[in-house]
Amino acid sequence: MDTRFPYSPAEVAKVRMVQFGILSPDEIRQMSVIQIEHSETTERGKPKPGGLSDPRLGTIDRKMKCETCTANMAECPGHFGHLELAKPMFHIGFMKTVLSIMRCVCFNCSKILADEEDHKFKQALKIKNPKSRLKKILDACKNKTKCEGGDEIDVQGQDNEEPVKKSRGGCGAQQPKLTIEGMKMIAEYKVQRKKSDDQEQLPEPVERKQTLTAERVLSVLKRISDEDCQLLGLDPKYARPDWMILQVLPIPPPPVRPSVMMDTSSRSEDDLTHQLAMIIRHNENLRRQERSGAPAHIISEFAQLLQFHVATYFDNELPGQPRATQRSGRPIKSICSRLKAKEGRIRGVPWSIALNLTYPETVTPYNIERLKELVEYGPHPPPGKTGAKYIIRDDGQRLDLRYLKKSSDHHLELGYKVERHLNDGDFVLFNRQPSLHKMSIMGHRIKIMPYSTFRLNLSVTSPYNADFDGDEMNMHVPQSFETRAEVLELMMVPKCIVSPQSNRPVMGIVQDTLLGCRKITKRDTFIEKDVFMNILMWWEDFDGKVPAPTIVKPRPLWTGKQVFNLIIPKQINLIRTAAWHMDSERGMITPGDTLVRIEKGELLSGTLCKKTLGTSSGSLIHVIWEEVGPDAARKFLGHTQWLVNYWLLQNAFSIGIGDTIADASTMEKINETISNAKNEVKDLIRKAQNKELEAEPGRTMMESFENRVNQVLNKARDDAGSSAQKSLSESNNLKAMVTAGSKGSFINISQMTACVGQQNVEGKRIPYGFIDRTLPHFTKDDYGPESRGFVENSYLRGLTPQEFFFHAMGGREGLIDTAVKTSETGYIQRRLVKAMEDIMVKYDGTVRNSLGDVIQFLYGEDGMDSVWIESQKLDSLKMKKAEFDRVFRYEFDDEDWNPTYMMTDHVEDLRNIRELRDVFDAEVQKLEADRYQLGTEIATTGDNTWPMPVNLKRLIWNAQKTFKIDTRIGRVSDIHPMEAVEAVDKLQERLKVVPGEDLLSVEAQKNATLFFGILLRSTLASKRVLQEYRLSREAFDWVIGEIESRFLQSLVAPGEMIGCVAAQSIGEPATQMTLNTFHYAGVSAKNVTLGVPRLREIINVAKKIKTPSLSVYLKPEFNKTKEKAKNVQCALEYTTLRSVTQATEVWYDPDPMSTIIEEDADFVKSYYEMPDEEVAPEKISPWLLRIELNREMMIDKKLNMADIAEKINHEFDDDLTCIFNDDNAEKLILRIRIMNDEAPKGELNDESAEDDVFLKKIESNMLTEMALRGIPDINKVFIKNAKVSSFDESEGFKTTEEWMLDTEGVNLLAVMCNENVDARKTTSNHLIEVIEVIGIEAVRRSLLDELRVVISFDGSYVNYRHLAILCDTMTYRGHLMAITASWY
Amino acid sequence: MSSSNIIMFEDIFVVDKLDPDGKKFDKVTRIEAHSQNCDMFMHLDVNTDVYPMFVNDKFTMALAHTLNLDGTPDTGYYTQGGRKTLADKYEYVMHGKLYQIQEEGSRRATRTEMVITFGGLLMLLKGDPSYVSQFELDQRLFCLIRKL
Repeated sequence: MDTRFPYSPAEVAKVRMVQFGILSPDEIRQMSVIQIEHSETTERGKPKPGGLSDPRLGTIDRKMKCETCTANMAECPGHFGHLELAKPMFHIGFMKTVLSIMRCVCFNCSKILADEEDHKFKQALKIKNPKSRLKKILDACKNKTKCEGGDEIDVQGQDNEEPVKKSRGGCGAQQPKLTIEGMKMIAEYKVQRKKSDDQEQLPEPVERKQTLTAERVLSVLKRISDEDCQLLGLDPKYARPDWMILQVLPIPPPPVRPSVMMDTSSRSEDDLTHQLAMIIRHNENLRRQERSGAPAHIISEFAQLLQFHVATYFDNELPGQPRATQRSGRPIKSICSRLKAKEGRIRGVPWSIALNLTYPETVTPYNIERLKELVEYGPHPPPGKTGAKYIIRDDGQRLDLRYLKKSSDHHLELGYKVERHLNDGDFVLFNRQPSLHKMSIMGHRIKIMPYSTFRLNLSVTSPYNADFDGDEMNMHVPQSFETRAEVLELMMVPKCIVSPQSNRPVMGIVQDTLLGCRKITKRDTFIEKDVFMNILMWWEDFDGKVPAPTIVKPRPLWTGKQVFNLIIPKQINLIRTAAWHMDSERGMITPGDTLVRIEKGELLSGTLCKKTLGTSSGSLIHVIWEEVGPDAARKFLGHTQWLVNYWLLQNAFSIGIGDTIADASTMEKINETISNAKNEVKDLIRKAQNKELEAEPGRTMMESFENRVNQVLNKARDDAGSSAQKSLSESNNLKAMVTAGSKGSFINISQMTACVGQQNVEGKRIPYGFIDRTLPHFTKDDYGPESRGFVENSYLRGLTPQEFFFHAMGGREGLIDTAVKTSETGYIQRRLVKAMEDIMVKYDGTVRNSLGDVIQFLYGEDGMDSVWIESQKLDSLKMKKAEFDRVFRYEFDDEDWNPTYMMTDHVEDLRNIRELRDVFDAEVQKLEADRYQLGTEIATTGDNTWPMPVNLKRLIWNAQKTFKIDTRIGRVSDIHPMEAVEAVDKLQERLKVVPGEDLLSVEAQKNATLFFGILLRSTLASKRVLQEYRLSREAFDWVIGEIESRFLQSLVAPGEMIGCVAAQSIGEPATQMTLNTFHYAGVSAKNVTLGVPRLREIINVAKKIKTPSLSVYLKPEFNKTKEKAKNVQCALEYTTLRSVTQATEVWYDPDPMSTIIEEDADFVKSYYEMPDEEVAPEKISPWLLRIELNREMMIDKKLNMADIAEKINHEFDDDLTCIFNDDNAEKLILRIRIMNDEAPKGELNDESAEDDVFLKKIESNMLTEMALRGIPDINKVFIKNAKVSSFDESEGFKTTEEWMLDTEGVNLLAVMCNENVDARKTTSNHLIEVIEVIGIEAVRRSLLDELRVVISFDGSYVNYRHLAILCDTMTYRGHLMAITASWY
Repeated sequence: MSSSNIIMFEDIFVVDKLDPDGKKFDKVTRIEAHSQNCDMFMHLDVNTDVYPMFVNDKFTMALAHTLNLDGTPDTGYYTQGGRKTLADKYEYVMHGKLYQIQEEGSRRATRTEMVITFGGLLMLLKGDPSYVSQFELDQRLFCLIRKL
């Protein structure tokens, strides 16, 4: 028995019926346990009897029992009370219904206004549905202005001129026009136009327009007879119309509106309680006024107030009404908002979408019978059936099936159209906003199902970015054959599996299925016969044949991998590694089962995880899609889910707190790691306080300190995390999910079990919000980890209050960031799309916009569609010379040459026929030339994997498998090498991207296929075909044929709107970027803007960018040693006097030949013993500007005193005199005095007074304006050691280290002019500067590089052609055009 | 037809080590074994949950292309019913596929390496090429074991 419910002796009763109705006042009184009279809840700390917390309503105290049912707090459901309203009030939810009923009945006698004989009325009576009947009757009564009919009963009929009528029994009263205004009901009498309007005034001295009180309405409704009620669609037994007016208000018990304990004494009440208290208070006021006989307008005023509160108690979101608010101004949450809306208890539900949307189907001989049936069902088909809404005749006339009753109207003829409801198998468009991709709107084949939510396959949630936490999506039904065909051919989910954005699939196995796949393919997963049989039943293609079990004896057992043998298409060959594969696990039979090998659709070894089943390039989904086709890929996804989920059901999976607990020794290790880190930080703090900490280049000491602390703490978190991760056993459920890739990652494990880590705000540790401290819990100037937001606890162990607060600070910033980011990236996306939406591939292969301007002459420079592109390796690029020769060159010059891989006849041919040898020499020469071109022009960085069409390696492998090539020695291929060379040559001729024989076309064709040609020649070199792949003639021919057809398949289709694709492909990853990316995590001191802000700068072509910077490469003579690079650095860095100045002083030191400053006495004396030049002492001012220079800076900048003095003399000529001491002196002193040429001797005093002011001016001028060295705007220069790899004929690629410079601030032109700088490689990140200094071609390249940096920073990849389209749209006119609002 | 035609290789092995790279799976143990007659080296994943094996166990291991005693080729499907098969003489029988044959070493002292997968349970058999020559790539094989 369920222990959650207490024992009850009562027999369990069956619910026989559910009847909805309106509570009558009597019913409310009867179900009430108490009449509420007081608005106060408590009195002297105890619940007040007759108040809102009366104990009879149910207990609110854990210790007390309910006074009504004597149950305790957990069991008592609460009991309703009631409130007698002083006056009847409108129920806001029934206002509209009350109005329609009021309009139907006489205002005076409450009879239905319509005439019984009226045609409309009669029609209405036939309607069965009560709701529609009321509507019809209302229609019939609407225009009645008088209660017509006999006056047998009501003799006082005011109107004398009523015609003698049938016995309806109307009173003849004139009917007002009723309207609702807010919460009031208004009755308006029309001025009667009578035939004899001479003497008669208005019938009654009523005002023409009056407000009806609820009381008045109630009296009308009360009089309605039961029969009339029935006619009006109300069952008098359950819902009398007068019950719609509130006379008694039920008071819900506290469990509905629980109060919250603030502390031990005070309680905080629910919004509803507050609102009820208001109602009671105003009700009491109204009653008092009434009792004291207040004037009518006062009473009405009070009634209005009560009405307002009653209304807002039900619904506080009434249009045109002020909101009832709490004292804080927050709107009160009404009963309505508890139930409604997204956060409510009932979800907004699409009402039977399939019966709402239609598809116009043309009537043909083939479907006429079916359509006839649908038309018969009409708009309201029986359950489980669909129908139709309209018939469209061939003349365009629409027949609405809702109103067609005659069966003759259902007649169908060929050529008519029937707007039928949706069926299973119809094609629809499905969409989730924001539509950032083309994959945000996809075609689906539908199945109509019960209940009111859209259901979709889990794998398709990733491109939509959808989940099931309340997401809403839209569905559209294509309405013509053309759109239907487009949906079918271009937009269906299977066709969208591989996206052109980053040439990889966007759907994979996710969530439970992914986890299941990891578990089922483990080496020690065995499936018993019964389970395996059941799994087979989920397999669509099961033909009754059960595959042989892996273990035949002692008892038949199948392995989990065999399940996949069923569903992987038979053409598939694939090798991958599991996510946790380590390179140390070598060989074919990895002990951890990490080498995934699939041959001919059979999973031979390895565990499947996200790397194989996910959306990465080259994954199983990708390979199936490319090799077998979209539908096979779809089928694979579906099957995997069916079979694996069924298996997972039998092998339950769950996760709990226990999975986050590490063992004791690990915890000790974690604690040790953290306390070590804290000690280390302590040490850093001590050093920093003693100013012993060495400043890193380009940082102040404090910046370096923060940086060091961050490094130490982050390392501690990672170390603690990895020891936690290591401690988790193979059976740990969290680890199972992480290794499968379905949920969680390293950081989650480490935060849950080890240490949450440093919390950051604005990219720094938690700042001081109070004076010199983060929180009052700490002492001032505490730079320690705890005080600045390092959370050393794990989520499992729990955070201290301070840690919790810091964590909330960090979390808050994250939330703000996402909120800001969505709008920002949304706008970027819109601008990108608007700028490029018209760009398409034309039929001549060029890419043009809607003006016909050529953006590119060939899409992506190779004319390929990126959907068909995969990463491929150029083997020859990195080979050393010897290896290259071994792989490609026949050693036929060698006397003993006797290859085992070639038929002996062919060997003889090669030995003896001169011409043949020439052919192979030419082949190798071409390969060498290719390699050289690759290394020096194309892949200059030494990167040898490039995205290219036609996966050659896989084709070869497929050929080996299908043609059963045995690679053992002695199995010789039957191809003559000559054939291979010729076949490849001929194949290249056939791979046409740009057809045509004219010179331009030939050149264009050559450029388009240059790269692919290199790949093709190097992979299909004749020696490799024979020696490495050992392809037979049959296999080789197949490969050649396949390459041709796949190459041609990979070409872009003319008409492709690649501009949109490009815009979306750049915009979509931008939305995933975190807005504020602060630093390079690395060591480099250079700080560059990244992420969304940088992307915006680039796209806007910002004139002023946040972090302008140059990358300065040096000429080979200067980039070898740091010393030489340092010289260049000094030459570039803009140095003013200020940067080397320690202190400045202005002295009155009247005697220029000696001094009053003791320190300087020596060198002044010695200077004047042997002055450099003769100066008349009388011209020298008595005021002295004394500058002390910073020795370290001087050495760092490689400046000496003489340099500076010379600069000053040069700048100020004879106006100043400057003496200085030796570079080795204790202090470096500059003494500067003003020289006054025509100084008359007598007025020395006056002048000297001016001199000191002048000297101060000169001082500030000198400090900032006087450039000692360097290039303006180059504020800082950092030295960096860069690894550069360059092509080397014999070594393949050689990486060399060289020194280069990074600057803060830009001045490309001036820097390039420096003779030590390699002007050809030096670049700027400031686009405008690049276009000004180097030109449009350079800026296009810069643009591309900068975009790449932004996009690849957070690990995204976007195919080259999309970036190229953006760059080209921005530059094709010869100047830089920003992507701004002016595009549309 | 006698069983000698069906059996393509048979030898007596001795288990040298269990899980040479450390224990990774609960129900499966990798055994390292060497043969007594043909000097073969073997790594084999065995479901020790149903057929426990220990160091120094001596067992005979045969590879056959079918279990049918009359030599009719195997269908590749599961056949129920207690027909007489080659498996009757053995205790532990697995069904799998030979997916790789590799030669290593120079021309004289070549050793051939065969890799067979039994639904993910792997077998690596290394030895003189002469014993291996009759095997073909992508051939379906049965591995039959009986302890001695």
